[in-house]
Amino acid sequence: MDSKFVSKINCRFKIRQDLNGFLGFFQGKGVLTFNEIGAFIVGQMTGEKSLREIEQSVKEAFPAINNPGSEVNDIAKQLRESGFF
Amino acid sequence: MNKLVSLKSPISVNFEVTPVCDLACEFCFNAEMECKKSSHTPLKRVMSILDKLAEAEVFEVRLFGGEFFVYPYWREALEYADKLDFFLSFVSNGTHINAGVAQELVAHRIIGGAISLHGTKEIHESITQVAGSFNAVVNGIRACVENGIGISILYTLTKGNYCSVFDTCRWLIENGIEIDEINVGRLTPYGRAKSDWEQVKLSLHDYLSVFPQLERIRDKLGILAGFGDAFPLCLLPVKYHNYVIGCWQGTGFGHIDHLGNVRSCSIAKGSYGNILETPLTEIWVERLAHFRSLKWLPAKCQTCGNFCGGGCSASCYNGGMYAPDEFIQEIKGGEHGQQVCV
Repeated sequence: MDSKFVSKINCRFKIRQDLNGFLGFFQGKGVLTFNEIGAFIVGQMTGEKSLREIEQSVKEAFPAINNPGSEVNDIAKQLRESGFF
Repeated sequence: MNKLVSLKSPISVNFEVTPVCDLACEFCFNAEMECKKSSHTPLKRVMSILDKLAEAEVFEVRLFGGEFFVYPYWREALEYADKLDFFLSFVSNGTHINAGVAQELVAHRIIGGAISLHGTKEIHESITQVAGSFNAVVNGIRACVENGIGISILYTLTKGNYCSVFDTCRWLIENGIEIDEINVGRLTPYGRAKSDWEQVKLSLHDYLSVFPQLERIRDKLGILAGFGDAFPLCLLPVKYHNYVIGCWQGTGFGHIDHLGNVRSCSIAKGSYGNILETPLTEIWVERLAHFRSLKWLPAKCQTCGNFCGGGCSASCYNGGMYAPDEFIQEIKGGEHGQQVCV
């Protein structure tokens, strides 16, 4: 996806940490599960940051991660295909 | 072996804000509470329960009863719940909802709700035992739809209405009421239906005859029709499996009564604990272990590759909080038999 794309999830949503991973509740759409990085990425998709800026935030929050761009892109792609943007 | 997943707290709860209801549905599972004679819950307790739900990070609260809109402080409860940032919805008999009420719901970020409608006028009012309740609920549904609130109809199946699901939906369409979906529900041996259960219960054949109606509703009326409760998939033709929404009680769904008692099902009675005394996360993680183990289900259900939850755990009362489906019986040796009714 275009790294300049400003991703904004098109419904109200909240994410919580649960016993095994993270759960996201998306109003009118359903529930998704995430790992910690996924939850962080989705939490940034509120219309303020481009995918490149989210990638930068991931780098800062999770310095050990190998390919943050790929993580951000994969999630953005899945959400787009599922009608979340 | 099949097993239900543990979450730290429910994703969604039905919160019985008040036990009071102004209808008298012939099958009401809450009738033991004498709905019309009960007292309303003090607002302070309602707010305390909401606080506890927020602490446990429950996402969605479905405002439930009794009848939520006969609660004298429903506006205050709604406003408080919205301030706590829950995703809000409601389950109602619909008779107190007008355009003004619908607009208040929208103002508190409610985009969908569920309203009970159990048939066409004559059938519905014979069930609710309140004259005028049909027109009132229809007006309530219309007010919601016209204000952008998606409505799911809850239609509890009885001997008197199970043949009329399609006709009810057709009536709504012909009268310009655009509902999102209709979910038919199981009749259960609780409350008012319990006393003469052998006379009122539906047979497997009765239930199976509903699915072709749901199919026609989808195909001819364009309404998303489904079976809102769990149903044993092994007893159902494969082509109808995706009509069964199923049940996520004890994992993602829970019920909180007006005293703060926690259950995994809105119909079954009992309590796993009270959230005003014990954190919901503790109750939810620790006290439902046996339920989630599924050891109470017939052996075949425990290992079934097409696991459906073993049907509806409130469809057969055995004195506990859950039991295998009324149409699945365990026989000696751990095999399960099928009770096929005439």
